Amino acid sequence: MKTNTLMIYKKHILVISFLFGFIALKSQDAEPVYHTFNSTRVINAHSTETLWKKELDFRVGHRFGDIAGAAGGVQSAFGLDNSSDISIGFEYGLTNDLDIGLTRYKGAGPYTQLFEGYAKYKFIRQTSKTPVSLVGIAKVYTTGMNASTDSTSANYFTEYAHRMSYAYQLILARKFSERFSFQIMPTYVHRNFVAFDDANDRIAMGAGFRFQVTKLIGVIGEYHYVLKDDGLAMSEQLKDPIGLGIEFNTGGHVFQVNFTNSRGFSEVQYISATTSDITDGEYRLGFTISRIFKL
Amino acid sequence: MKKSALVFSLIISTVILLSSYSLFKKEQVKDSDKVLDILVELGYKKPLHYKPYSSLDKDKIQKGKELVTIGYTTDQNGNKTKIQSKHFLCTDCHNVKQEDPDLRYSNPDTRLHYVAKHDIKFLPATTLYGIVNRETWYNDDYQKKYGSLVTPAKDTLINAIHLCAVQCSQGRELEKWEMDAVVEYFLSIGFNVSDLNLTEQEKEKIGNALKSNSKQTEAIDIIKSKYIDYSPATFLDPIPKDKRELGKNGNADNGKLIFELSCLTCHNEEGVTNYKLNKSTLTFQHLKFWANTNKHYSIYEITRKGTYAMIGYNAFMPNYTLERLRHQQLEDLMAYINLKNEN
Repeated sequence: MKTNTLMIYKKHILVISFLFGFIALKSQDAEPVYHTFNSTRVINAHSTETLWKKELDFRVGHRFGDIAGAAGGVQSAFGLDNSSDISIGFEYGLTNDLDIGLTRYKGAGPYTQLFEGYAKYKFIRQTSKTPVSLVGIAKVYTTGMNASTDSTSANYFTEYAHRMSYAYQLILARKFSERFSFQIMPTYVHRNFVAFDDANDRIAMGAGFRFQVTKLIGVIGEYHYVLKDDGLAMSEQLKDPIGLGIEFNTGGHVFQVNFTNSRGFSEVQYISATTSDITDGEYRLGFTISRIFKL
Repeated sequence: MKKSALVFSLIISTVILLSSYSLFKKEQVKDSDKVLDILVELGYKKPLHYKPYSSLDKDKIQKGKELVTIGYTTDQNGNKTKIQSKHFLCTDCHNVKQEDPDLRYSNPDTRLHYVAKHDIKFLPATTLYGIVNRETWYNDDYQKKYGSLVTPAKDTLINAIHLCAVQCSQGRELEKWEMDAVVEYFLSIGFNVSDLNLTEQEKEKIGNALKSNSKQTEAIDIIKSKYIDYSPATFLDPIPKDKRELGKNGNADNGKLIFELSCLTCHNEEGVTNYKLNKSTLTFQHLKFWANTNKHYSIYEITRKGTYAMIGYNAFMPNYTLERLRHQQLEDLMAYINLKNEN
């Protein structure tokens, strides 16, 4: 499963350049549409929202253990005793359309001690004349976990490039009304090094929505259909990540409570490594707090 | 001989006529004259911030205007200065144009229609137009909010600007040259004679006092009677829940003006706060739902109490004083909210 390091970097630089080589299509004299989503995330996935220039978003997230199933139930206080993943990160608006971010995850799935850096650019903003918003995201991950001596393991890292993973996503969203927004998000994840019988590349088609019940409370949901018909053993264990949540917007911050079968936050985890089956009670409570500071 | 006598008589007559004109000519002040210049010329006490209008520097005025309206300017080397406040512009809370039709009164009822007519905002703080003509700042109940901080600001404009820059706008102190520029800009938007609604007779009296150096006290009194030289500020408690009419006798047309010219100034999608309002059903349902509570989402509560700056997100909502928003105007706003909920 090893790949030539130089080739890996070239490939991803090319993809990033392609994404950010877009010429932003800006409609002149059109009324912009704001708040397609309340936050820069739906649940795990990004939304088309970007931060205002010079805003810093401090985000803390938590995913508990299984609510039901073998690891859940009363004994684990329905998963509250366990933490599948914890995230802490900062995101910053370089311009009104370009965000950068740095997050550290406890990590779930094959990679733990995961660091994520990303850039997110809004190519098109929905306006009175433009029906949709289009956002592109490029992410790079590295893991700080100890290398395994087992050559079939996902963390049998013999060189630094093996610790690297990447995710690219396009998000196409439309705010249909003041209450309802919908987005689709084709996603590509590449891991430089994976366990035996797993795939380096994963492609998924995601969808997310927001239904605003009141000015302050909204229902959010997302689902990713992951392509996994490649005959590999790991692919057969994969499940499509799905989540449903409620968000509270208090003006200064957005508080999200959600239920999802994915154990990790990041694309490299929830697209490539969700094996929890919601029908077996393997879904969990999670929350994210976002606090925005003006720098 | 006859011819010489005739020429002599003509010359004498001309001299007499010119002298008479000079003696009985009506001296008037010009509409474009600055009120502060006239007062100082009449012998009224010279404020610390005073400079004659004719001595103001156009470049400084422009820099001062930029600091007030866009938050930064360029320094002597042409470099952009650090933004004064990342949370507010002066113009988020203050107009820079005349906002009261009659400068003798601070009346939010007449002001609302005046600002609507002149396409300016209906804001919680007093206009900066004519601020140099005031003699005190941070008056009355502002002591309750800022305590001893208002003491040096009460009688000195420069100290008042400093307090506003650091506390109200949660920004940095102005450098000396920036303060000079802001003061010059304020002097440039001091009251003109035309703003005072003087009668022709009053203009003559003032003009004659300037020329003859007599009856100056009378002239000063005339001028000072035409505007209030301080900004009254009366803090109010929210209307108690059982006394709220919830828009029953409110004027929705006035309420619409308040919503558009006041609320949406800061709460629009690109406004200074993260608490956004717009003209959607969700917004009006939300405002109606919370109106008769003691929570800060209630228009009755938030307008009278305001909020405080919080670490990390310093933009706060100032409270509206009686002189900036009447209780009845809140009922007007509520009537508009009700109307939008019915539609």
